[in-house]
Amino acid sequence: MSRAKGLAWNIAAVLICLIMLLPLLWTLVESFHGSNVFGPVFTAFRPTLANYRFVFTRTQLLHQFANSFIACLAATVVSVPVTTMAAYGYSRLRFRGKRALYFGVLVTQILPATALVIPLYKVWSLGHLFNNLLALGVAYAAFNMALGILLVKNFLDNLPVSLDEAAVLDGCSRWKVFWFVLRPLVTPAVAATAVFVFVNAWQDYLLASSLITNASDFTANVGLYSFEGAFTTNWGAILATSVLVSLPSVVMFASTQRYFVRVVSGGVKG
Amino acid sequence: MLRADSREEPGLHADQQAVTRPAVRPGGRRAARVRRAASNLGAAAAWIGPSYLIFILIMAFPIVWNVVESFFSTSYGKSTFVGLSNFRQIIDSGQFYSSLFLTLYWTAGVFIGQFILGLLLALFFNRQLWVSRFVRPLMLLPWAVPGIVSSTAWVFLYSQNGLINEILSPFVKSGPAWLADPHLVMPAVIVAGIWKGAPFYFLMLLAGLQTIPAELVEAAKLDGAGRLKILVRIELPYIRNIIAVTSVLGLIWTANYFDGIYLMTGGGPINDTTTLPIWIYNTAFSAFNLSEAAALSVILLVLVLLIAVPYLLLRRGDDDV
Repeated sequence: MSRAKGLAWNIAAVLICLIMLLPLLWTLVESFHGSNVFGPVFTAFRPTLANYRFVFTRTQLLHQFANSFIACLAATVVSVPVTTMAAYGYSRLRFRGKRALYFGVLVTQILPATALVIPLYKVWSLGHLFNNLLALGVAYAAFNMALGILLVKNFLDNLPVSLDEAAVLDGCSRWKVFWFVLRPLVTPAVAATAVFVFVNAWQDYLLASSLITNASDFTANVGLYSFEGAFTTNWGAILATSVLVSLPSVVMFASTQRYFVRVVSGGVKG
Repeated sequence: MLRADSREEPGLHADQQAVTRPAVRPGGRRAARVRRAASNLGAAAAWIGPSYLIFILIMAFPIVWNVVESFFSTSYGKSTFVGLSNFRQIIDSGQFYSSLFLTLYWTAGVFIGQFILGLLLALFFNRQLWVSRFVRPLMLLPWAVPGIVSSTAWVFLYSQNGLINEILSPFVKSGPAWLADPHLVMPAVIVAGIWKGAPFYFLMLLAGLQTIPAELVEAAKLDGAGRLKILVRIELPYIRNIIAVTSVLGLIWTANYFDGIYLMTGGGPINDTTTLPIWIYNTAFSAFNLSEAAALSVILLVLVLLIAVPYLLLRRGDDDV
């Protein structure tokens, strides 16, 4: 009886998941249809890779993927050391104004990107930064830094200060303590931060669409949207591109989702 | 800051006591303390400085510039101070209240839907299930895919010959044009928004539910409490902090959410989905009116900060800096 009940719950869980994923599953399934994806919906069709072949040979997607990778990698490379150092500062240093500065970090977490796009556009034109993927990466880093600081700080706070003190007694400087004692221990949190920054940056449309004006510098997301504008009827290729564009963030996100709860819930208990 | 000071108090105390004893070069001690404070500030600048440099360059400086700019009007490269005229123009434009209403409509609809769906999913998955290990990460996929992908998937579902109309076809002669109908477009976009963000609530609320001691629920059951009563009287109050943080973050993210609406409708048909963020974007990049867009950005920023204050205060109290 109880085993049958358990089985029923498990089946229900799978069904709920399938319903939840329906829009994505439908995209995935229909991307293997021909280019004309409409027609009788519930009839069997012979899967084909034609849409994917079209995307790889006739569109700029691979090039745009490379652009996205450059910007997202730049965001990660910039934010990881900066984030980790700031987290150390908030966790281990005592100085006047610390609470105010930390409050500032929290504020950056809720600043709306849409309210910042216009002034960023002006800053970018002042600094001649349009179409610069590295500059775009720095902007991504800024928008994701608060999350990383919260995560690494939370992790550092759980490491006993006696670790640092022992090393200081041995005559280590702060940098040495950080590098040889703490850094190896916080590596999981830092790795999670790196993944979050990359995935969040990979999801962006807004910043890339306003700070990149040159079609050859488009990121994959902007490329997909402009492709939709140009080939409104080629749903097969649009869906195949959607599948390809989501792969990196899906794979990376699935591997680190459990860290996320810790960051967002942070110090808030229960 | 206050707390950091109070931590140093024992040291100060010892110092003051020392003064009553035969003097041990008090000046030297004070100098050492000043030196230590200075070196602390130096260390703070070294460790925290880089992050603030980026915040200032990418956020603080642009925001300040934006606020200044919103009091100017630019035409043919010449800026003239116009005071509040940009704001007056926005408020008088007739679109302001409708856009504000649409922003509220969208935010409230998405928030309520996401919260209820997320809570139901969390309650369902808050039990030992063999498949959870595989299913739970998959449930987060809607949230993990880029906005352009989820928007494309929903535009596809809503299209004239799409899956939704196909499913409705036995009941309705010809399915509606969901995203072109002024009455249907907002609900349609809200449904897609709920779907995209519900996994966030699911993740957070499930994490909260799992911290509730089983004995608490068992005891209530023994007392004869029904499922609904347990939920309302025990479970929800127990996780109220997580609910508060999740809700405020969710509200802010939803009010600001751009991709989910813009990439499905562009703000149309005829501005019927033009929430404030969409309006800003279209004012700047379709109408090329940067002064008005700057003023709109200031308005959005102020509104968001107003919603955010409770969250920030809550976080500040709990984070133990």
